[in-house]
Amino acid sequence: MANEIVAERSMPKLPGSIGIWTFIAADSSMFGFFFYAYVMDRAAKLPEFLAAQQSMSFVSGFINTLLLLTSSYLVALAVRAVRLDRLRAATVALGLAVACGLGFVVVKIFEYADKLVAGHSMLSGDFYMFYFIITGIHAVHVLVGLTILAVNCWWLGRGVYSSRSLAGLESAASYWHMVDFLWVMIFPLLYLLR
Amino acid sequence: MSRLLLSTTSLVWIVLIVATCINIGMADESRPALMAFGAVVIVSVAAIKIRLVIFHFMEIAGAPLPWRLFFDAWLLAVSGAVLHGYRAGLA
Repeated sequence: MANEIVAERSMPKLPGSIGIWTFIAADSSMFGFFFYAYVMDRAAKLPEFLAAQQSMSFVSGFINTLLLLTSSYLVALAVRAVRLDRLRAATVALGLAVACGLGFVVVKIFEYADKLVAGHSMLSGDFYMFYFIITGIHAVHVLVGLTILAVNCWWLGRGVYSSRSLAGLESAASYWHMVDFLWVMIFPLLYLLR
Repeated sequence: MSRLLLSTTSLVWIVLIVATCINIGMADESRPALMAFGAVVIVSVAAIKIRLVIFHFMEIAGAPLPWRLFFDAWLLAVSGAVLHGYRAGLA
């Protein structure tokens, strides 16, 4: 029996359900096309893009990157804690991950407000169209992810998950990590590459 | 708690934070001569960060080979496309 468990653990395995991984593959591919469309349009209209990028704040993008990376780390810790049956530690880690995600949303709201007050909207040129579409779709992913994480945090507190049953949490974690790694490319693309 | 925190996961998080600071340092618009080289560094560092998230946080390192190949191919395609587009803009 012990040998079977060791053999099962050493087998290559995707955490969570195959459904979420199919979604992650399709969704990240869609973002990949957005990124390519952005850089090719930027190459064709470089002066316009460079001028528009002057309004982009390194600081808000930097803070949001730190928040999402930390949130992703805390979610990974929560999954690890559940595997060790440390359910209280897992609940705390997941709660902190949700707090970091909410911080991302607050910074994003301030950033959008700043742009709109300065008179920049989706109709202000190609750069702002890409900026609002890419970051907007990503922000929707963040809000969906935060809802899923909050529900999972509540379930953790109610004892729904254990080291023997955590596929739902693993699926939620995988989705959140995707939201994180997509932002890791969006940040340099829109804010840093000039 | 220390068993949780003293892990590869925590080390990966520290590397990710340091790499983010390196990328901010490279993005200096006042030094245009650095920008072509800087763009390669910025995109490469972003790609390394994404691979760390995918392989460690998402645990793809322990996934079946086709999934590992898919994510490496995605990362290569996206990084290549971004650098190709950036270079086209400089030309």
